[in-house]
Amino acid sequence: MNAYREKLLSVGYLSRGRSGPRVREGREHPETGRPFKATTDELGNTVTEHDTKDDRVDAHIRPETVRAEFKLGA
Amino acid sequence: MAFTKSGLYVHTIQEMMRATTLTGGQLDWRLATYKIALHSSALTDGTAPVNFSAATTVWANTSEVSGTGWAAGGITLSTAASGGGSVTPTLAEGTTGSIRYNWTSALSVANTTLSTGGGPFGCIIYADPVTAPADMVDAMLLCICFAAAYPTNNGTFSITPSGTGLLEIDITP
Repeated sequence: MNAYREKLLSVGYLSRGRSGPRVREGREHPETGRPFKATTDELGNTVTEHDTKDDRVDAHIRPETVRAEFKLGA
Repeated sequence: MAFTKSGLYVHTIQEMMRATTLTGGQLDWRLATYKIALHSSALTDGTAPVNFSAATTVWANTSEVSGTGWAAGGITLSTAASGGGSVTPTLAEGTTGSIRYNWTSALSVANTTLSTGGGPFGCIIYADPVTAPADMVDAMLLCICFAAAYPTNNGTFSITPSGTGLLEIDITP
């Protein structure tokens, strides 16, 4: 059994602690797709690295709502 | 040290409330002709274009991030869209008593390489059509600090608003 091959062929979900980054690894398609590694940080933003010839890297930002307030009162 | 704050621009809000006449059209946050520009962590709090209390609100390209798929000066919201559609900004009541600025879909641009200065650390939405008066040219509306740098390489750069939008202004006592 080739552990590395098994890892590449599987879709796994690894947690690195309650507040650390979450890493998801797998293939874009279970059998034919290229491996990828998606890391979601504590801010909720995700960077996905693809095992492609051009070393594709995606960034997916999910910003928190900016909150402002007009303070009213007597 | 990198900038740390998201926010609105005092001068922009002030001139909106004064109904100052602008060349290029009055400010309408719902316009998809407005641009979004990316900036790196080289910006520092209190310096243009993240000086929220400055007497001018002109967007500046200081420490801008651009590259393949993302032109210098930023891109219009109408050209940055998931699935080839258009990012349409909306302005309506969100949380009760609050005005919410949001997009109808995620902003998504494929095939980008954005690595200048370590990559995008934040973005600024500004009114590109405004050309006068001088203190309101390219008037900045909203700055969003990502709090970390997110470079891309031949990949997709996307921003998905949270369930409560990109901005909420609570105007009730």
